[in-house]
Amino acid sequence: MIDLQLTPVSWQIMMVAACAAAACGLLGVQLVLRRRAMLGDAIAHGVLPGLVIGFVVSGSRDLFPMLVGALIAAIFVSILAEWLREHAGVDGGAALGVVFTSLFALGIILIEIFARDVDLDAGCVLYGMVEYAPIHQVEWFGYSVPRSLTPVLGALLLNLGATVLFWKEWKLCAFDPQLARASRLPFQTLEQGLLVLVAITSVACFEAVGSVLVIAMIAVPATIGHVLCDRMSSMVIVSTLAGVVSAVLGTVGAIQLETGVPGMMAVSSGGLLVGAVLLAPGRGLIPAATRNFSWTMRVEMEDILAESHLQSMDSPPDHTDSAGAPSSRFFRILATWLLWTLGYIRNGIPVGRGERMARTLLKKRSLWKRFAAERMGLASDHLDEPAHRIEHHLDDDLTRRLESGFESEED
Amino acid sequence: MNSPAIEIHDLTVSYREKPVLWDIDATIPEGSLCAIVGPNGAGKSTLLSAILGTIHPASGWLKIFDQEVGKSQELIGFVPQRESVDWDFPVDVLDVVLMGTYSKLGWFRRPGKAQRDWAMECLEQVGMADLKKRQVGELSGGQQQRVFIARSLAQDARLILMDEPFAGVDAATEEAIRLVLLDLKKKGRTVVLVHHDLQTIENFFDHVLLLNLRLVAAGPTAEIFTGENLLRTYGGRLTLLDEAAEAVRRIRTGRSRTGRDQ
Repeated sequence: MIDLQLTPVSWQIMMVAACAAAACGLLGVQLVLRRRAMLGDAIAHGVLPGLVIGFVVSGSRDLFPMLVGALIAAIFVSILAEWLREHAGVDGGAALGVVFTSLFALGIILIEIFARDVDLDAGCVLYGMVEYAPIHQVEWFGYSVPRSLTPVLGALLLNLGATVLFWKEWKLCAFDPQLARASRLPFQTLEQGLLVLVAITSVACFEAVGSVLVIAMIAVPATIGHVLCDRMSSMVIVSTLAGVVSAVLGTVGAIQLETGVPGMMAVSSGGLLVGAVLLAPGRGLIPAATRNFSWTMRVEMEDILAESHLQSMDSPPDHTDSAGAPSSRFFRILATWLLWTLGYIRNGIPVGRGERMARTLLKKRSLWKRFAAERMGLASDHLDEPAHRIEHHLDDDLTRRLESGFESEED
Repeated sequence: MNSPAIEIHDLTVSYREKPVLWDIDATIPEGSLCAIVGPNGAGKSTLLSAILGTIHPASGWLKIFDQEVGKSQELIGFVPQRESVDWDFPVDVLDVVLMGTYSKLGWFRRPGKAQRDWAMECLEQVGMADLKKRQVGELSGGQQQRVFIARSLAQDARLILMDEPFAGVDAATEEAIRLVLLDLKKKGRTVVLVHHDLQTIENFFDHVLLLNLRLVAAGPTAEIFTGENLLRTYGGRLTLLDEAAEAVRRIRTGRSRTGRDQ
């Protein structure tokens, strides 16, 4: 029995996780649109040594020194990667990969060196401590909220503000950098500003949810948005929601299965992405396959009905179907069975609705043949093949237009 | 002759130490319809980028309407090469055309009804108004090209650059682009475009710029577009120039294997 009653503590965990996910999701949209989600990963990882140094120097878990250290590290990551790409002839993705893994490892080593002096361990950096968020509380307007909500909510508001304020500028930079540069926009500043925001968000969220989750929440919700949406506005909304939904599923799932929240969140977001790819209306794999299948079945059924109708009228079948591939034979058998089950065909003769379908198809076929012969000037022995190809695609409207076309001519 | 729209003086551009444009000197008068012509790898797109100000010359200078590129506040309309656009980007046709209005809007302001009406007017001109809600990836190649032409119209710039607008488009689009170009010319705009079809140059463009790493010739079509000049443009790569560029690259980089070309 799953108990979905959440305790106040769970609500607080969920709130922190959701804000972090939404903050990352908003930036993720910008990075995914530039095809640079990898840069988000790189910065989220690469800030670690700066973070640790800031932590060690200040000797406290205050946000500000860590933020400064992380920002310096983030800028270092992008400069170093760019430098490697330029001067070592390394491809851009690989350069980033080299830089951020080295820096991340350096960060881990630093943590271990200073482990005696500071209250920071590698596990907490990787997986965060969102489960312990409710332990440290602060007062906000008389409400007691988790301390880590402040930076996470701050990052969310900052990213939301930037997304809204620089909406059209960022859109142009992402879509057409050349025009953005040419139309007097401070292109470099805008793009670097985005990276600074990624660094700030990484730091603000890392304590709450850990760097693994920052990476997942930058890349995955935005990709879901990209799969599902045709406009940037809807993509921003869907991506943010996908982040929040992952947070909710992650928290609930973690409580049910008694595992860590960040891991559960990353898994949920991955599951959502798979769901989006499979089920996206129109483009999704399953809707597309269903459409294809039902279309194939319709064509097969109509063909069988028309053939049997012609045979029952003792006219020679004008559509001789070759045996075809095993798959098409499979569809044919399935269609025959379906027709029989539906009662559209009895003893090889279309009846009821089946008969009407057969007549409609034959009418469309003859209309098209006439159109092809009279208007397109096709030779009489070339009429069958195109007619068979097109007849199933003629909807009522087109059929009417074909008919009325001939009628108005006859008038 | 009109006052110059573009002045290019001693322009040299290089990628990673290797010069791809050598010492270009040319003037394109205002109100002209100018084709940049040359073989693949002649540096045509590079020249456009230099005019746009997105790459910096190694030496020499460029002026647009008598102001240096980079310092100039002049708007330049731009139609990119079709291959360089991300067609999966979540924007519809109207969104793309609206981008042409952004720079006149200034910071933080969203395009409103006035901008949308203007964008629709530009779409009408290229015969794409019906498709305004389509995502750009769902259009045919010619339609995609027309959307970007409409965007450059929406920019309402005195100077418009187009990188191969006629590449791989259907007859309807070719005609639509032609009409737009003639209309722009009538309004006194300057249009510079990279062009491949040598057959259509003589009766359509009043200026040509023949390019093959260096400037072969530039000026009014009637004077410049001669068989002799074309032979000098297309008649084999200038192997000497190529070798010189290669030598520069080798010495500067200290490597012997051939690097990435352009």
